[in-house]
Amino acid sequence: MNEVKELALLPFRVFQKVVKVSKSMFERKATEIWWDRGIKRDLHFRGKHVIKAELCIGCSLCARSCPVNCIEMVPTGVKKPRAVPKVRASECIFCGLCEDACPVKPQKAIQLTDNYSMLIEPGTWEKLNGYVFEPENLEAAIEKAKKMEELIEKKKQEALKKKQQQEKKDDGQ
Amino acid sequence: MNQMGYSFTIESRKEVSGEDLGLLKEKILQLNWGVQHPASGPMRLKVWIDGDVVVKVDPDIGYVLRLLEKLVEYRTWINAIVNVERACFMDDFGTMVGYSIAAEKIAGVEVPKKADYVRVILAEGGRIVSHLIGLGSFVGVMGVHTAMQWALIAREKFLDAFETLSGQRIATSSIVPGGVRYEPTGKFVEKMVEAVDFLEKEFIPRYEEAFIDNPTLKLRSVGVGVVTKEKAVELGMAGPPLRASGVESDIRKDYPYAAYGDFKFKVVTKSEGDCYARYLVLWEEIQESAKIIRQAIEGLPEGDYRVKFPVKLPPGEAYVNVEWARGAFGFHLVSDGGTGPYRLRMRAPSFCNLWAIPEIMKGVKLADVPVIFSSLYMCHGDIDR
Amino acid sequence: MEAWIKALFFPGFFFLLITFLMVFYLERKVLASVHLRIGPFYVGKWGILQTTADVFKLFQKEFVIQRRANKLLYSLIPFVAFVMVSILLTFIPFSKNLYVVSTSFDLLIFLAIITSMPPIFFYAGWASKSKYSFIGGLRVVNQMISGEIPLWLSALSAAIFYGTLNHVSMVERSSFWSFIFLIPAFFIFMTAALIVTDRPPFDIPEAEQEVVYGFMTEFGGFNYAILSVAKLIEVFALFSLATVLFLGGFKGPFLPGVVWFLLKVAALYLFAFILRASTPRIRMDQLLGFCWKVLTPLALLNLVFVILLKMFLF
Repeated sequence: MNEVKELALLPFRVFQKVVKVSKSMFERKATEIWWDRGIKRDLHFRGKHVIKAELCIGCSLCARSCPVNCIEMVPTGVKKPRAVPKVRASECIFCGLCEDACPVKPQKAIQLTDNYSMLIEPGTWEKLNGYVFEPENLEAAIEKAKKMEELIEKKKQEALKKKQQQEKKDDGQ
Repeated sequence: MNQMGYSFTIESRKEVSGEDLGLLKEKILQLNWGVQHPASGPMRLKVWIDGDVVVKVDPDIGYVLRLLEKLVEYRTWINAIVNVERACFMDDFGTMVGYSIAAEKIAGVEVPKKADYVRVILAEGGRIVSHLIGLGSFVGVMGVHTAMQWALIAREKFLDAFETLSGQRIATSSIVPGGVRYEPTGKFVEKMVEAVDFLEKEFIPRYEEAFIDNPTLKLRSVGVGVVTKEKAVELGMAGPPLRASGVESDIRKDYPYAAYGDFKFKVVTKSEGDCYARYLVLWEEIQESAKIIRQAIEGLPEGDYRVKFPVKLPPGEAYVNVEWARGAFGFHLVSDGGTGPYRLRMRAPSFCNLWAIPEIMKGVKLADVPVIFSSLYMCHGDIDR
Repeated sequence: MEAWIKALFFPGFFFLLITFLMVFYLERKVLASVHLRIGPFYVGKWGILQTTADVFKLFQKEFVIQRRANKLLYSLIPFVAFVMVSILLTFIPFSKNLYVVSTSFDLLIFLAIITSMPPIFFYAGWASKSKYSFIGGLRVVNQMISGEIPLWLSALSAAIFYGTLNHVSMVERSSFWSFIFLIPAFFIFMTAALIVTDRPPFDIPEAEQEVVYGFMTEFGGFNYAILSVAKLIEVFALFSLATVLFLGGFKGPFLPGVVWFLLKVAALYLFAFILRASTPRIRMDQLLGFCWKVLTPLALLNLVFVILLKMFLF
């Protein structure tokens, strides 16, 4: 009998709940329509990497700290930096541990930025595979490094010559 | 093969005639409640039914096996958190806290107090985020998606706060051995307070009015899938389902880790042990967690948030239990003196709760299967690891 | 207007399709606003063409028949269901002169056709030869048979009250007092209508989380579209019948009759939508208990009450 009473009262209780729920129809909606208006809120995002070749010292700590091994050290041909990191974006999980590992101070050589738009069209295997974050101004940095090396070389040679001259002089005496 | 204790049966592939729609000899129908099914998630339950009554249930897992425990062995001490947090995306902070404490125990590193407080804030935030989905999906299996949508709106605010801290909404990888990775700025604290305010002032009244004490919800879940106190202990259940059966077990209270010793909160228990009790445990734990977050934000100390963690650790091992959103999560970490873990064993609570299913689901109606399944509050990523 | 124009255009075929699309759209929009979402937004103004796009997508799809299925029955059932529910709408008076046919047995034919729907849905489940479809089909029969008795009893109590089975004269004879005396019958009728058309919270036959999609699991593309149109039109027809029987049909001040009629139906729909958003589905055995222990006795008592009214008051 109790069960029947419960069942008989059910429609009225349900009706009460319907009235209560229907209040939410007039509340403020939570959806933001952003597709054609753009995102307005302030972003803080672990997005696209920026690699600064002129700051990099080529220590390869970032490559060692990467949990998915998506950072490759590309040899530059100069002594400093010996190699610069290159991030394969299709494998990266954007954990930001490479940024933590970078020892360059105060500005890090590898950094994650707010840039979140990474659309690739069409998304074929080749395109996705070829999507990498390359170091910025690599050539300029290499040229600079080369010049520096030449300068150092010159200075070294000058120093050598001086030394040799000194030695000759010493021998002469 | 039989000597090894395994037996395999290969289903014969014959043309199915019209008369048997999977009807076996005993007039028992086998339903595959799984992998590609609206309410199951990435796992399969083989359900044998006799008319409308479930005869036997057999869980079949392994669809999201990622070998997390093995992958950790190829990582360094710091970047292993990336694998640890992926045990379950819903509450990733709890697992990271447990791993970090285990690694710190081996290294003998003392964590600054501020890091402990931030860990508590994040872990409780993760618990709320996870419980909200639990509530929503419990009501969702009964055909009402309103609860899920409302819960997700409240969840978004917390994810915004996590984003402000770490720059990522779900896989934050923000807790490392030696502290936390990011400084808890004023903006993060502000966002967290905003999220808790929204939860307490808007979500909780709105949700309570509609889906707590809902007549048909009670009709469906009261007295369904009852687990008694003795049975729950015997089955080795964990977390909210265990507490709903009346066992007062909470690692945060029993063996306080991080900064949990400093806060006042109560362990939510219910004595009924049915689906509705499990639902209410989730509901009340959200409110307790919100209180803990408020206390932690008020008492947030000044100082360092991260200390230097050595690259190489001395040989040794540590076992740490943390109260994750779904129950006690155990970490057995072994070091052989190298730059990374030698072995990490994770004891996952959802896996323990999963094996209560065959016991609970004997003799219930077919319509009760999804209700009991979702009330046990499991995460598939955590079952398979 | 000639009858065939009516049958084709206004209360007929094209009106049906437009109603179906609009009801589908409104359901999504109302549910979205209860969920604090926005709902369809980009296709057309306020997303009004979204459902049209969805249905046309279904029409383009391949016609897939399962290997095990009974091919003739499987491809025929959706059309049979559609034709049968379309017949229902010919008996609905949208305004004083706006109906396709009007006989002296309107209500009887209407209820008879409603009663013959469960076998069709059962065959739909049977013909597709799938476990889930089969269980769904059995559930449909179970549910509809238990829901139809209160439906008949409450609808007939209105017929007894008015003393006619013709819809138009029923509306003409209705008054404020008839509305008051028939309120219990109205509630019983609405509950039974929700059960018969398996709207939530009584959507047990197509409970997504239990039996995938019930008897419609194996249907796809055009077949699925037609079958779901049939189900939606059945709901529309029953709500229109409730309006005719209990809410005074097209009667109302100022506005034309059609507008009043559609407004009343829309109010019933709004209730059904919010019911869907707030009430979890109940179990089969609980539904049977509710139908046989509560709803049928109440409908019988209500019938007695109406007969007593008729004997002593009118």
